Amino acid sequence: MDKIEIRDEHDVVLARTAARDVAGAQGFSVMAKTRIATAVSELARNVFLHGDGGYMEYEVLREGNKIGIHCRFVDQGPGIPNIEQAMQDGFSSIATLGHGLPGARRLVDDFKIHSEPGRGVRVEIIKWN
Amino acid sequence: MQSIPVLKIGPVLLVSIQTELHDSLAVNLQDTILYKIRDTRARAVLIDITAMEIVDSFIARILSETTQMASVMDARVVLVGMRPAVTMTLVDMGMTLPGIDTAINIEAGLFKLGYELCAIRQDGHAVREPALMETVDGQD
Ligand SMILES: Nc1ncnc2c1ncn2[C@@H]1O[C@H](COP(=O)(O)OP(=O)(O)OP(=O)(O)O)[C@@H](O)[C@H]1O
Ligand SMILES: [Mg+2]
Repeated sequence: MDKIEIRDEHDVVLARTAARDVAGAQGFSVMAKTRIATAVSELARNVFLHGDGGYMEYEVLREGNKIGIHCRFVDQGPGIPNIEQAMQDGFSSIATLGHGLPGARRLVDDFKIHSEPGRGVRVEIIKWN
Repeated sequence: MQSIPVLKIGPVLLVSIQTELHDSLAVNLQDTILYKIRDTRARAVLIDITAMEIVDSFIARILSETTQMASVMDARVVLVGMRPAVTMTLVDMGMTLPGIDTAINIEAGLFKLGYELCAIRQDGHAVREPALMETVDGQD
């Protein structure tokens, strides 16, 4: 897996352009490419904004003639005490729109989030072309 | 520090985003636009996002806030060239851009503002009634 450290806003740009470029190189449709890159942007921003920084790992998946991209976001920040609440549209602890997590989930085919309070957050997404 | 140029063409400010917008660049751009509206008394702002392949919730929020603040300053914002994939992605995410006016390209955006631009020459105020355009044209 390739890895991108996420410490600041510039790394958010690096993460999303990496996702866009991999999707482009793998022949993803413009729609699928835009969706995965946008989901990555949301999740990478959460890593640096809420999770005190961390990293993204990503790889290309092949199943038969399907091609996908798998990304994993890991941070060691405060974690999310109530995941169900955080996944709701419009929930935000910093008074922004709170579209990041629920929005990212709708943009991908597979979305898993795991958090232990005090030990950070781990999000895994898969987008098939 | 990187920054995005804001050009003034008559009563219109033109901004074309040709670079990856990281968060503080987006916030700076918002400030620059609002200050320039104040300093130049611009009546309209065209923001060209043709080159933007990714507009996430943060950038969408900045754009929509900029529009609302500009409108408090009596300037109208038209967002130009949003790619269909970007539009659909924002809709998927449940983001709407309340109050944002769009146009497919800069020319169409200028056309949209046309009535106001004509009227500004007459008395310094924007008017929206198409009928007034004839009066203005007639005086030229
Ligand atoms: N990596 C993380 N570590 C700790 N808390 C997080 C993390 N990601 C999300 N959260 C919590 O979940 C809430 C919802 O996240 P979400 O991305 O949906 O909204 P937001 O970041 O607050 O706003 P937006 O993404 O719309 O700008 C956040 O406000 C934050 O409290
Ligand atoms: Mg977020």
